[in-house]
Parts: sequence; C-alpha cells; structure tokens
Amino acid sequence: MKTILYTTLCCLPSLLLGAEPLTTEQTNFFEKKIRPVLIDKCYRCHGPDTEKAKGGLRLDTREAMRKGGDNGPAVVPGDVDGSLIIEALRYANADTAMPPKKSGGKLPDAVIADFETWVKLGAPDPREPAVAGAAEKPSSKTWSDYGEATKWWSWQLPVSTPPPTNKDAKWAWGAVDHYIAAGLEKKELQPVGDADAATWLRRVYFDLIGLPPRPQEVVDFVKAWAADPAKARTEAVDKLLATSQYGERWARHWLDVARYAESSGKDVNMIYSSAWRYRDYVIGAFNADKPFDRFLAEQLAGDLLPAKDSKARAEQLIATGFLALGPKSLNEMSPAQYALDVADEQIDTVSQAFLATTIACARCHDHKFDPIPQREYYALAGIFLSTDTRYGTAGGVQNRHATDLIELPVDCGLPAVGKKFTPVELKSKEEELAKLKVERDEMFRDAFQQRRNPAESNNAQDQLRRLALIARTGLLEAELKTYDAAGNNKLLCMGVLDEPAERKLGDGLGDFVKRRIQERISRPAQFSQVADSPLYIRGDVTKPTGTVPRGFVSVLSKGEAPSIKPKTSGRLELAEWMVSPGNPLTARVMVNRVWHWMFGRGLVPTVDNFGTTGEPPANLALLDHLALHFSKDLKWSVKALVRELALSHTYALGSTYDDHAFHVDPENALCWRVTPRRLEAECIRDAILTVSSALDLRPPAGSGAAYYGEAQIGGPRARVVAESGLSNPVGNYRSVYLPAAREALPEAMDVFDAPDGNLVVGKRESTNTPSQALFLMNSPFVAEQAEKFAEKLLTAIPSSGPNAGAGDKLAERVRWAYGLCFSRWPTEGEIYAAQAFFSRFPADSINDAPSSKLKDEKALKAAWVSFCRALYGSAEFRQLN
Amino acid sequence: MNSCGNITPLLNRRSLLQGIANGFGWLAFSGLTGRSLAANATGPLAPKPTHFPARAKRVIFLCMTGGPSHVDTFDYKPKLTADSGNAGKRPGTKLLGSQWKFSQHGKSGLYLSELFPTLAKHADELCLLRSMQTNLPAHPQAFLNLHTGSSQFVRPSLGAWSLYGLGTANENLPGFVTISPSTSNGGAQNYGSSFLPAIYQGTRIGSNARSIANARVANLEPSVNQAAQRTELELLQSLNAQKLKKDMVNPEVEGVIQSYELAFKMQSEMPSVMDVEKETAATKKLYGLDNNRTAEFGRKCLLARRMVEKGVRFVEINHGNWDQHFNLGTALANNCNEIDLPIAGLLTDLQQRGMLKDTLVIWGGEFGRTPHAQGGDGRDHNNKGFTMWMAGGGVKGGYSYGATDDYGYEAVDKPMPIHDWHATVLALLGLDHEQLTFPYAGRDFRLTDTKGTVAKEILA
Repeated sequence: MKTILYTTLCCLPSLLLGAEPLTTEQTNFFEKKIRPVLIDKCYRCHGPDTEKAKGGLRLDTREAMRKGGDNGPAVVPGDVDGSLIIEALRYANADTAMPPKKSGGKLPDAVIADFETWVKLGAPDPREPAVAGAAEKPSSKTWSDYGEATKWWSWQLPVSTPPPTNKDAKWAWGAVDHYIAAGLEKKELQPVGDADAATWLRRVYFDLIGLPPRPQEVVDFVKAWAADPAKARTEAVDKLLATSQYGERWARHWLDVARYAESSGKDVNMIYSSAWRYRDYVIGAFNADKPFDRFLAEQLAGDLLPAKDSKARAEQLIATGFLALGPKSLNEMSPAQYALDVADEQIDTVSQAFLATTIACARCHDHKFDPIPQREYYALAGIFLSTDTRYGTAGGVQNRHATDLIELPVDCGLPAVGKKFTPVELKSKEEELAKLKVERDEMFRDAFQQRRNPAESNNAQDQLRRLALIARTGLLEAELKTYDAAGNNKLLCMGVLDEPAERKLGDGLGDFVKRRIQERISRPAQFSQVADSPLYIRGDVTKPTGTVPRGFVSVLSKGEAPSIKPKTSGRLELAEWMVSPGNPLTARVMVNRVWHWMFGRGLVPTVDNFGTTGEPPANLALLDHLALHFSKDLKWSVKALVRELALSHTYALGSTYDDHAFHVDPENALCWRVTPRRLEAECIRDAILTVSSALDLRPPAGSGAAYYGEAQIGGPRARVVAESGLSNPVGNYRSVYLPAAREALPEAMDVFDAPDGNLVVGKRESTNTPSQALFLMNSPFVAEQAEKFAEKLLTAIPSSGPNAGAGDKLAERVRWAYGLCFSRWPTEGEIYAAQAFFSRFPADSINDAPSSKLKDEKALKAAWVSFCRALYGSAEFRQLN
Repeated sequence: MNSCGNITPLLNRRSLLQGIANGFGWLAFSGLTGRSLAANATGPLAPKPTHFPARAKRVIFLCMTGGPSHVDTFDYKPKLTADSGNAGKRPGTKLLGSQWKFSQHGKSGLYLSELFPTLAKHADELCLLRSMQTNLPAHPQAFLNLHTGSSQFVRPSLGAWSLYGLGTANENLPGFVTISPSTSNGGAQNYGSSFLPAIYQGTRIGSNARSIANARVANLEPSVNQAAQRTELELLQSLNAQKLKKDMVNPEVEGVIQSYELAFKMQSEMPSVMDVEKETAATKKLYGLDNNRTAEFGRKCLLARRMVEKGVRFVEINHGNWDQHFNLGTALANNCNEIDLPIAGLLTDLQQRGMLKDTLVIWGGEFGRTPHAQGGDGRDHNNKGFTMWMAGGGVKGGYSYGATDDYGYEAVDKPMPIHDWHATVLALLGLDHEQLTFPYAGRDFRLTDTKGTVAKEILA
C-alpha cells in the first residue's frame, strides 16, 4: 500500500512541487534520501493509513510534520537540535527513540546524517498539502464502505469550469490551450516553440488520415503557411477530414477498442466470414461523422432501433457486430458455461470500451477495487443473456457452438461477396448434405445406443470416420446457409438480436437422438428467452441463486436510469443510460481516447481504465471541459472534436526536447511539447506503399479472411486455412483492409505491435525491436517496395545518358526521395552522405565478387534499391515529430 | 545465404566516425560521441562488472501462467488432506485435500507431489520457496507484479533489469528472450524495458497460442550480400545517429539504432541456435520431444538451453494455463504431465554440460490457489501464500525455505513477497538490488522500489 502511494506521488510530477519553490537538487535530496526512509520506517504509525497517528504525529505531509504531534514540531527548518525528529532518530532519549526496535531499531548513522543535513538545508519538502482524491487515497484496497468507495474522481459528474486566464494572454488559440497553459503555469513550465510548417503537416496527415503528404502538398502548404498560418492550417485540416482516408484511419482506432478480428481465436479459431461488414460500417460511420451517442447506440442496440429504410436497417444490424466479434471458446463442453462466458466477454468489452470500467471483474465477487457489487454485474448479465449472439462459423468436431448469421434486407444495396453456385452445383450440395445428415443421425443413434453396449464401439477407424462425417456435415450446413435458392450469396452479417420474449416451443423434437444432440450443443432453455439472470455464486454456473432484475451500475447512475421495457433485453435502455447526462464516464472516456489518438498519451493515461487502479488525469478541468463540450456543444461529433484539437496551439507545438521541462514532467502529461511517437503498424506499411506508389486506395469488397469462408485456421481437420495465407496476404490496399484473424495477423502488422483482437486496446504497445529491423532489412515485402521506390526515382529523374555513373542526377533523386519519405528536403550533409554511400556501394550486391564501381544500370539500380530500403528503415521514417 | 562469417560491430566508433567523415563531417558529433558512442564503444550490451561475485550467470525462468496450485504440487499439507471437507477459512467454503499423494525424495527428503515423478529425481537440486506472496489475487496485476514489481505502473521487467545490470555474453544474440509469452495479463509489458533503454527489452519468439515448432525468427536471410548490406546499414545508422543528434534526447531512436545493430548480428547466429534438429536423438528424448504430450514444452526447454549456452542472459518460457477454477483433477494433471519430463531433462542436460552450477532455473506462476474448493473440483486464486522453486545457480539444493500455515492459505514463516524474490534473483546474479538503479523522472528507480530483502538463507 505504501509503496503504491509512494510511487503514485513520485510519478505525478504535478504533485511534486508545493508552495515552496524548490530547486531540483533540493527535491532530489528529499526524494532520494528522506522520503524513502519516511515511507519505510515511519508511515506505518505516522502515515495516511493510520486511523490514529501515534503521539498525534503524522509525517506524511509537510504541514503535519512541521506542526508536529503531542510533543511539538517534529521538524523546525534549519534547527537541527530543535527538531524532535532528529532527537528521536539519534536515539538520544529512550522514551522518544525512533524507529522502535520492532521496526529495525536505530537507523544507520549515514541516514541520520542525511536527516540532519536536510533539516539544516531548511527541510525542503516538495509534498503538497493533502489533496482530496486521487493520489492520497489508498487505491488498491477492497472497498468495505460503499459510500466512501464512490468518492473516486471518475464516478463524479464532469464539472464545467470557465477556461482559465493565462499569464501569457496571447499563447492560447482556443479553450483547450487555456487549460493546458494553466496546467503548465502551475508547474512554471514553458511550452516549447512551435513546429515548423512541414513538421506540422506531416503530423496532421498521419494523425488524421494515416498517410504521409506528397512532396508537392508540402511545398504548397509551406507557401500557404507563410502567407497565413491559421488559414493554411484550417484549410488543411478541413481538407483531410473530408477525405475517405480519414474514416479508414480513425476506424482502425475504434477497431482496436472493439477488439475487432475476423476469427474466433482461442481453442478452435474459426473464421468469422462476415466480420468485415462491421469494419466497413465503422469506416463509414467515421467518414459520415455519425454522432458518437448514435454510434454507441447502434453498436449496442441497432437491431432494436427504428430504421428509416432498408439501408439504415442493414447498417444498424451490422453495427451490433460489435457485440458478436469477441474471441470465443467454441470447444466449451457446457452450453450453460458457454452462454455465461459469451455474456461476460460482452460485458467486459462494453464496459471497457465505453466506460473504461472493468465491470467484468465483478463476475465472481464484488469488484475488489471499484464500487461495483457482484449483483450489478448480474443485472447487466441479464441483458446480455437475453440477447441472441450470431457469429456464424461451421459446426464440427471441435466447434460445438455454431450459430446462424443475420440476414440483411435484400434491398439494402450492400455488396455480396463470394463464389456463386450454379443451380446444378447447389442442388448437388443440397443432396449431399441431406444424405450426410441421415448418415450422421444414424451414426449418433448408433453411438448413443452403443454407449449402453461399450464392447462394440470405439475402434479407431470408426471414430475417424465419425469425425470426418461430422466435420463435413457441419461445413456443408454452414456453407449452404449462405446461399439463396438461386445459388447467390446471401447478404449476411454478424450481430445480435433479442431472444424471444417467451421461449418457442420445441419443433417437435420428440426423437431421442435429436434431443441428445440438442442438449449437448444448444443454448440452454433458460437463456433462450428474455429473462433476468440469477446471481451465480462465485461465478459458478452450477450455483445459481435468486435472480437480479436487469439494470445498470449504480455508481455510474447520477440521474434517473431508464427502466427496461418488459419483454426486451434492455440493450436499448443500456445505450440510453450510457449517453445520458447522468453518466459521468461515456463522454469523458471518448474524449480521452481521441486525445490519446491525437497526442499519443491520454489526459488519463490508462485510457481503458478510469477506475481506482487506473491513473488519475493530469488535467481534470480540461478533461471535463472537453467531455461537456463534446456531448453538448459539439453534439457528439468526433470530427468536430478532432478538428478542434488539430487546430489548437497545443497540437502545433514542436517536439523539441527541453531539459528542465523533461525533468519536471518526463511523461509530458502537461503537454509542454508534442511527444515524438512511433507510427502504428498500419501507418508504416501504408507509408511504405505510398512512397513506392504501390498503394491501392480503392477499398476491397470483403476481406482476405472472408475469402476462405466458414473454415478453421490451422486446425487438424475439415477445411483448414493455412496461417500463411492470412499472415502474408496479397494486395496493396490500405492496412485496415488486411485480413485480421486472431493469432494470424499479417506480419507487417504483428511485428509493429498491432493488437491481436483479444482485448479492448485503447493504447497500443510501441516497441523498437530487432524483429522489426529484420523485417525492414530482409522481408520480401520491403524489398519489393524498395525496388518500386527506386524505379520510381530512376524513371521520374532519368539519367543523362547510358552509363552516366552514380553521381549523375544523384542530388535531385535524393531530394525527391527525402521529400517522399520525410516530407522535407535533405540537408547538404545528407546529400554528401548519399554520395558517400554510392561511392562505396559494391558493384555486385548479390554475389560476393569484389568490385568498386557501379558501372552498369543494373548495379546502379541495385544501389538505389538499397538506398531506398535504408530510408524506409530509418528512425525518421517511422517516427512522428 | 551469404557468408556472414566475420562479424564486426556495425556501429563501432570507427566505422561511424568514418561515416561521419564521409558524409556528416559538418556535424559537431562531440556531444553524441561523448555520450552514446562512448557507451557504444563498449556497447550497452557489453558485459558489466557485478556488484559482488555472481553465483549465477544466466537465468531460465519457467513461468506458469494462471497460478499453479501449490498445495497439489510443491507444498505438502497433510493437515489439509486430513481435514478435507471441513469448513475453510473463507465463509461457506470447504477445504479440499489434494487428490495427489506426496512422498519424500532424494537424500534431502523433500516432499513432492506424485504429479512430478521425473522431476522428483532432481529433488536434491530443488530449492523450494514455500512462502511466496504477491500483491493481489487477480491475474493481470499479479502477473505484472511478478515480472516488473509493479502492477500499477509500467516498469521494466526482471529480464530487462538483469540484462541492464549484466550485459550479454553474446552480442550476436538478444540478451533477453521470451519464448511464447502470454499476450494477456499485461502482454509485452512483462518483458518490456519501460524507461530502461529499449535494447534491454525481451525479444519474443512465438506466442502462447501457437506451437513453438512453427515459431521462427523471421527474415534472417539477407536479401543482398554482406558488403552491400553493410553499406546500406551504415547509411541507415548514420541517418539515425543524425536524427538522435537533432532530437538531443530520444530513447526511441536509440532503440532503433540498437535494434539494427542486434538484428544485423542475429542474422549470422540466430538460425543455428533455433535449429533444435541439430541435437542428438538422445538429447531430444531427454526433453520429451519424442512424445506428443511433452514435445511442445520440451522443445521450449531445449531452445532455452541452446540459447543460454550461446550466452543469452535471461530466457523466459511461458506455460499456461494453470487457472484451475474447475476441472482441477484433469487439467492440473495434464499441465504437470506436459512439463515434468522436460524440466527434469533440462536440469539433467545442464548438469551434464557443467552449466547447472551457474544457471539459475526458476519455476513458478503469479500466485497459488486456495486450499478450499471452488465448485467440486477447482481452486480459487491465492496470493498470500504459494510456492515457487529455484535450482542450480548458487541456491541450496534439496532445501525448503519458508512455510505456509497448516492448510496453505498464507505464508507464516519467512514470507517472501515479490520484491524480496526479485532482490534474491538479482543477488544470485551478483547484483545488489539497491545499487541497480536507473535515473528517471528525477529519482533513481529500482526493480524493488523501496523494498526488497535478499533471502540469504537460500544462497549455497
């Protein structure tokens, strides 16, 4: 506990500097020599967790220490002999000697000397007076008092404060800047200077559309900026927001949060052949700037919302794919367990994605850290257990939980993908399936009956035959479900529907075998209608107790929660509750995500966790301002929010290093600069393709994963998809359209930390590893693009004549290459470096023959390919300043 | 493949200065040479002196994800068996005695469960830490705590700290490798370097979802010959050096520079290290590669041995899932079956090669499991008492350190929180956890924060 408190304090520089301005040395002295001892040796009895501090003395704040306890001030700055703490540490008086024997007794002389020095120095103490909330509050204790536990900052409604006035009245361009400037002023930090035009443009291109600007665009922009910077910036931002590339870039952010993937992952890993429709829906939603409250509602309850036409109806159904896309243990033996697990995954995703709250932690017991009783988990579980989740997949030996997909209105105008069947083909498949089904049912009958007579059953060959039969039948069944009577592909999507209000009576399954099959793989009857969920003791499916009425989480209900209409799951009301003004988190969580995507670090750095185990915001006033502004003034428009941030002065800062500021705020929590960032995997690949002119900006229909149909990835039987087809896909379209099967991500994504779709990921990892270096040095993909890049340079700027040598047109080509890769021109030194490179490059780069000159065109081209690959591999290529 | 025989450092002081002379002569490189390059002349991965004599030179950490039950494996609790079915400590629970028999093994007479029949032959090498404790009974937090000493903040991992403290013994291979790590529970943070330079982060091979037999280090084959590649990379590194110079402080760029340095060298050495097929049939059998049940984990163990043999400082192997809330009887037995023979094989092999004496082998997970039952056949998370063990590398063999109460709920004798465990691992490597610091954000950070006591008693 104390360790946590200590680190919390130390790592939030905002809390480090008190009213007394301290030098860095003074602060360091305290942090290194004094505070650790106080924490280790004193806080247990004289600290914040103490119900009643011993001797009335607390040593955990500067004020308390100076005020002292029953015997007087513990510390008198400058007066060593008058400070009781020194007397105690010296063991001068047996009654006051500290620390006591049981805590290790007298401290080493060197430590006591440190304390003496410190008092002599005036006892410089950076600790703030105790502030309510975040850091002072012991944060990792199971809450015992619910009322007390609900006081955490994030459970309170956002509070509106007017934008603060700043000392430097001219710096702020808009409201955001005023809050930032105020935060910096408090720590006496100066923002660094502004980024130059080209740097700003490259930044805003990648942040808004995920692609680099073309050299000509840079040239034009620099000119426009010189004439009128504000106008130039505004026009650039508006232009980018209007492109369809904006939606592709920002959809990918949301797909991370939605743990989007095109297969079930986990044990069986079946392909989700229509997941891509959800991907396209999200891209469309960002491009159309669908208000976020509507976007949320469609994903949670699009099926229940009224739709104005077939197209809207289709979109809304596809949106609910959000709930169906999760990883699933398709091999789970117990249907009831499976139903609970699916609902749990949905609760986990919904609560983290929209509320940055880990409600799923309350499945087995009350949440250990946040005030979420287990009962409220089951109030939500009732909602999701009353929901029919449709994700397709082919049933088979290992997949015990295949479902139907949802049929879209035939006139919705969306494309169908996949191979068509001729009527003859279709008929033959149908006949085969009918035959197989008879065979399979016979086999089951045999199997179940033989169970009574085990001697006859279970020879290996028989078993294999059975497995093959089940697999083939399952595949055919799944396949045929995707065709209409004419052999055309049906329009299908993943998604959810409400369970029926009342359970349908069985379809006359009187047959013993059918009943047995049904029992083993079907969703249990109790979850096949709209109903409240029992509370399962310790989450154990075999231990249901009384039911909990469907509902929401109390700590997040500051207004009246909507009441769930009878005979419906309650997803519609869940969405209403989330976007109501009485919910303190939804708007905050989304603006914080947007901030993170624009600046590389959220105002709350733990973007998926606003609970007590997350980190509190560095600038709460700004977060609240943005949340209220977003939900009220901007009417939940993400584009408008992005636009405001992109046009802020804060966003226009340079990324220059500053020693003092770094010392005070190394994480740049207060935004004294724009932190240099590594580009995400998609941006790196898309930039490589842009530079080589190979990028195909046309969105493909469907997906490389869907191409394989309802199949298993890397499994043992039936139709199996080799991982290699997914991890090395063909096609030079944008990375957001690459196949995204779990555990089989494309190499270019995997190696640069793209998320694997198993969890909500609001904040990606960002590593720099040898495997990335190897990918850039040696992968066929990069080699191919470097070659195209080189050809482009050689074609655009042709040689003066045959065998003109490496020096010919070198400067022009290098200049062009730099413009393409870095959005800037090379310096003279860099041209020299390129010259040196060409003068040293071996004539034969494939074989090991010694040579020194680049004589022919082939050798020259090889050198340019290497040159281009080096630019791709450079740190500058993958970094955003 | 082209010959990459004589490898010299790509970014040694001389070649970089040459690069500067050829291209960047105008740059005042003194600042850079004063700092990074001087360090590079010896290299951030170059071996460093230890604080005191090291007992172990390298670590193989067998990480059991999910929280293995201690009371069924290494913590013998006869009273739990005797009182099975009685009320447990938590209201409404019932004690669940282990369904597996324990017996004494080796000269030391350590009690081990029948789940580890092969490993039991190495009883006299094992140093059981029966009083482990961790912060929280929740996977992500405890798993991060185990690896980084913190579940609340992103901090460098144990492997990264070890590598930072010791440097590597082979600059052609990553100094810290993690084999098929878990993608959840904090993912890459568990082998990350946080504020330590990026070169100390673990290099991942494979993932927990795929068979290690298919895992390879991709793109090791150069697409051009060595002379061309060197020229290409010299250009690349001079671009990077120049950017670093311009940015003044940019750990990311330093990370890129070092990643190329290592990648270049890995091309020559990594393929042969990964090639387990070179081992003799007898060795493969020793690790259980001839058996479907043990082949997967056996291959990982063999790979780990090949790596440490070549000078990799820290290898972690992940094995999961040990989260037996239910189905304990089958699932735990299966898990133990998978690892028992390979671990024994690893210890035997290290011994035969004379490496066990200075290789620290560690086994354990993020916490243990409750002595009481969950459902009929499962156990819940238990963070206040569980068992890990060490072998080789300067620890006492056939030894048991600390103890939990009669049932295994809580460590009562010599409790060993994770900070103490970290301090002890570092001490075995010759590192003083209080001296192994890194300045960041105005203070010196340590793996053990303000805590950590070395369990001196277990040092051989």
